[in-house]
Amino acid sequence: MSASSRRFLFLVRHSPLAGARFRETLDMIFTVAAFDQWVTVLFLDDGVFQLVAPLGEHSASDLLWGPMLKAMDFYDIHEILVDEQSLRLRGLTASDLVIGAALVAPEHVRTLLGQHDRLVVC
Amino acid sequence: MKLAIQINGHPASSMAATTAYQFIKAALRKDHQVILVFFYYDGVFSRLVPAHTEAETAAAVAPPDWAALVSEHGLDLVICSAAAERRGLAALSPAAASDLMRTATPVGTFRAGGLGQWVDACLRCDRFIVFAS
Amino acid sequence: MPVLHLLNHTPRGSESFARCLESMAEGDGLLLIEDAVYAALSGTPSAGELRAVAAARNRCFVLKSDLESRALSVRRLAEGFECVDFAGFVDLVAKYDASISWG
Repeated sequence: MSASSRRFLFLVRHSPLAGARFRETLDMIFTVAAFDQWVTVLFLDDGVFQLVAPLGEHSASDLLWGPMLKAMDFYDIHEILVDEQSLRLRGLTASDLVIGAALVAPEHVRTLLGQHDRLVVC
Repeated sequence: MKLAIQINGHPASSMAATTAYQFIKAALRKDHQVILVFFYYDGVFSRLVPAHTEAETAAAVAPPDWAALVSEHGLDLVICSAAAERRGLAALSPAAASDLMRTATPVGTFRAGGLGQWVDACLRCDRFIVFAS
Repeated sequence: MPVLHLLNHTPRGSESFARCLESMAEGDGLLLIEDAVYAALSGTPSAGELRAVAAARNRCFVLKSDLESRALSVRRLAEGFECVDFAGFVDLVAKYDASISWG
C-alpha cells in the first residue's frame, strides 16, 4: 500500500427513496473505487432496506443499488457488509437480501471503524 | 497537519457550514493547512446564502463569511457541480454566476468541481472531517 | 486506530445517538457539537448513557461555544464531560487517527 493509499468505509444508513442521497452516495463510492482505493460498504440502520430482494416481476437490477452490485466485479470494492442487528430490528433476515452480503455483529462494526481511515456516513 | 473538509448541510436548515467555518478558522490559527473545503449534498446551497445582516451577525452564532476566508487564506472552496445541478442550481460558469443576482457571495469565492477533487484531497490530507446536516 | 466520533443532533428522534455509542471502541473519543450538546445536560438519561460509555475508557467532550450559544452554562453539564473550544476541537481531530460524523 503506497503512502497515499487510504481505506474508505462508507456507512449507508438511509432508506432507498431519500431523494438524491442514494445517487450521490453511489457516485462517491464509485469515484473512490476508480482511484484504486480500498473500499468497504456497510449497510446499517434503515440502509439495510436498500438491499431487500424484490418480489414478483421486479428483479434485482430494479433496485437502486443494482448498478453497484453489478459493477462490483469491475470495481475493486473490497467488501459489502450488512449489520445483522439492523436487519433483525426491521424483521428481516439474510435470506431477504438480494446479495449474499456478509452479516456483521455490532462489535465488528467497532473493529471495522478502526481498520479504515476515511469514514463516510451516508 | 493537512485537513480536508466536507460540508453536507443546507445553510438554512443546518449548522454544518457555520460549525465548519469556525473549525476552519481555528485550524488556520494553529497553522494547519486546509487543502479543500468540499460542498456536497445540500451543502451546495452554501453559495446562495445572502450576505448576513447586522442583526444576524450580532446573534450568538455568526454565519460564515466564506469570501473573507478565501481572500485572506486562499482557501479552495469547491461546490460539487453535479450535486448543485441536481438541485436546480446553475453551473458555476462565470456567465451563470454573474447572472445569479440572488447570490450575495462575491463571484469567485466558490469554484465548481467534482468528486475527483474530493477523492484527491482525501488521499493527500492527514485528516478528513465531515460536517453533517 | 482510535476514532473521534461526532454527534450533532439531540438524542431524541434520531438513531444516530444509539448507533454512535454502540460503535465506540475502547480508546475512542466522542465530541458533542451543535444540538448534541443537549445530550450532556445533568439529569438527562442520555448523559447517563454517555457516562456509561465514558466509564469504558472513552473520553467525552462538549463544544463549549455550542453550549453558550444555547444559553447553557458549563455548570449544567453532567459529570465526566470536558468542554473544548474550537481550538480544542482541532486538537482532537489531530489526536485521533480518524473522525466519523454520525449526523
